Amino acid sequence: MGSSEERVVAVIMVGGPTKGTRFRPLSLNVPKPLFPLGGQPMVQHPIVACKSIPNLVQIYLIGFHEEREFALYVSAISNELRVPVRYLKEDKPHGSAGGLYSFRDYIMEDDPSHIVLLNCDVCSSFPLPDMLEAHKRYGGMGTVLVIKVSAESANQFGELVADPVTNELLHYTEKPETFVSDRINCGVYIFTPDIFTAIQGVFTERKDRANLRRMNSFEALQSATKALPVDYVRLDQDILSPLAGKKKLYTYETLDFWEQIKTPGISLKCSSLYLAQYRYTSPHLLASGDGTKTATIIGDVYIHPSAKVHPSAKIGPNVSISANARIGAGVRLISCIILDDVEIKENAVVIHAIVGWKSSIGKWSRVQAEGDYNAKLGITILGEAVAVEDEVVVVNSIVLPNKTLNVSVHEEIIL
Amino acid sequence: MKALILVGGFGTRLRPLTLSFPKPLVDFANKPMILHQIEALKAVGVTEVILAINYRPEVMLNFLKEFEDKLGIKITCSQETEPLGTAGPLALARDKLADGSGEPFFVLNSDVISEYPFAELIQLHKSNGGEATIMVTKVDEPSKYGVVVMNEESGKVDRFVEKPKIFVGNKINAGIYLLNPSVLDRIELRPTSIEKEVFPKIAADKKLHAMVLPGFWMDVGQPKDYITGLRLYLDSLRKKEPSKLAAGPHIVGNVLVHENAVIGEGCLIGPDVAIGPGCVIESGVRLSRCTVMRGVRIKKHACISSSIIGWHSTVGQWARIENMTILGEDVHVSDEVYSNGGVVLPHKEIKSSILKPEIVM
Repeated sequence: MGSSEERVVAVIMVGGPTKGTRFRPLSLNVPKPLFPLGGQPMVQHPIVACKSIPNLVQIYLIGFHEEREFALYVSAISNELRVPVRYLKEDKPHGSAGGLYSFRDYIMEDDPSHIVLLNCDVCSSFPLPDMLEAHKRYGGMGTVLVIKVSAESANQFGELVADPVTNELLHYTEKPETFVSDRINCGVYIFTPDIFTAIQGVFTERKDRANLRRMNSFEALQSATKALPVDYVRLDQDILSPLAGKKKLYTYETLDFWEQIKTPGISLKCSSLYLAQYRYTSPHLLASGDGTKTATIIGDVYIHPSAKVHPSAKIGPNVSISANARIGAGVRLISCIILDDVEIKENAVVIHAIVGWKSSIGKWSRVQAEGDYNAKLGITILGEAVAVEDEVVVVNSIVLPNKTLNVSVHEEIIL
Repeated sequence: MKALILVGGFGTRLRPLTLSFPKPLVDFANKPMILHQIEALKAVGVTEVILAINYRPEVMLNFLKEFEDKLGIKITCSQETEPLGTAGPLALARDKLADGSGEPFFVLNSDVISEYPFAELIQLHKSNGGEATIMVTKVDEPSKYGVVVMNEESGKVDRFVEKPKIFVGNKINAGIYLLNPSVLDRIELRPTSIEKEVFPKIAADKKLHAMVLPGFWMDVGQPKDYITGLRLYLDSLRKKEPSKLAAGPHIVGNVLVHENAVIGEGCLIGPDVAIGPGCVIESGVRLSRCTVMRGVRIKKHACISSSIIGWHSTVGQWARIENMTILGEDVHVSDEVYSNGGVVLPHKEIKSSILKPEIVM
């Protein structure tokens, strides 16, 4: 098949509102995929990465958020990147493979030779063109992106064992209790259309087994595994795991950064990772300044063109400032995400925090945290429209939307 | 007659319940909070109720339409674009309140529950000829509040003292007022406090009277007071309409059970419990001093006290829920779990015990 025949369709799984409770309080106001990292919505990073694939013809976002939450974004990004992006809403959760299968007609409409599947809540350099080349060399049905992590942390993920020469996937196990491998599943895959046959196979097998169960009353008494609905098919446990070692699946290893974006704390870390990546891929996005005409900028900083920053402020490293934010004189910002329409008044300090949309930070106030991305209160999070009054200190705390803080707060969750 | 109910903002003190519904629609004793007030107003001939709110009304409108039709009373919203305090909203709704009839209008604070003796208030206001009559209630610790210093015999209000350091009186503002339209001339359309700016002026003109509220009074804007308030409300219901309360061998003290709720065998329910529509209480369950909202299922042998269980939640078998545990909407507590003061946001599963008060997001 010549390259002019090859079309690629990308599918990004974006999840839904009831699944994202760990992303509260930020997910109370915005669907997690649209939360900005490095100044761009979370889902935009995989979308832009897909654009770099030769012959990419369509991108689908699949999830169970309400359609209206994505309508504006999808229209704008299709226009901006000149690639069709469309949101498809699942009627109910089908599992990662089930969701892909339920929209196979849309995906196959363009008769693609390859399908790229990505999870939206993954922070990565998404080395898709190289991964696609490797997939073609391997000649299998699917290729899984893997990364090496520490042995201790590996059991939080799916662990993969691969042949060191052929890169064939030999064994896959999800969150094992004992150590299997330090290579883990990054949540990025490339498939040929055979994947749909494989998923179909799981449905058929399930139906057959269900029929068998009805006849075997002893099996009916045993409920060791919670029975899943027939059409709920998980990619990892139900497809990858059984097909490992059958010369159908391969792995491609990335040496770049990778994180799973589960909590607001981790999203601050990922924002910094993307800002650092901009230095190589899109340096024009990063701000610069030396305090004379524009504010002093240290390290990687993103400032939206509509934001206003006073020249006497000092910003960075690892700061992202969104649209229409106003940063006053003498403000110091370190390692933080400042969301849209925030006002930060004179001489305030913000360190290791996320400041929610429309919030206001008073003069000489201090909003900070220890900076432990993984701790429950390691990054201070202010929800939408939170007002921190002048001279108030907020440390290691989470504040839900629409609150006014007129006394200092330490190590607390404020509802 | 008209009435203005000061609803205000986001009801953040009643979170996590107010993450699912705006505060006026949160159920209290099996009825949306605001409905208690609207029904009492309708009973004394109020034909129009205006809700002064500080957020978008869309969320409320469907519910309000339903109440309008059922009760035969007109309900509208007056939306503040900036918080206007406790007096500003009256200026905002001026045109609706001063309809030219010269009749006085009610102003209520939406968080307040009481017996709402509006008929007596109207009587008293007519006979004392004042410009405004406010209800006051007696409290044990007046220094926590704004105290209304009044002449007990004449009912005339002398002055207001905010959080007094020495004893000046034990009556505080109960948040229920009956005002003549002329009061509107004293209020500008800006953030204004009715207690600090408007009433003191009327008192100085010797035109402000107070009536001591008979019966109970509670501000149920936060969970602790909500639970105490339910006790007071059910006490009052026992005196006035005892047939509404549940009775039977499995009932102790004052208990309100909706007719659609189902209670199993061997339960012990009460005192001070409200069980909402569609609830299923399985056998062997012990409930005391708690509110169980619409659609909740409490599984066998569970024990719940001093807590609020939010809409459509479930509590597992042998679970123990106590000490101001607040479960938001659609929270599912697994079997045998213990919650000591857990405050759980909507759509969560609680699979392990919460040993000391903590917020679960």
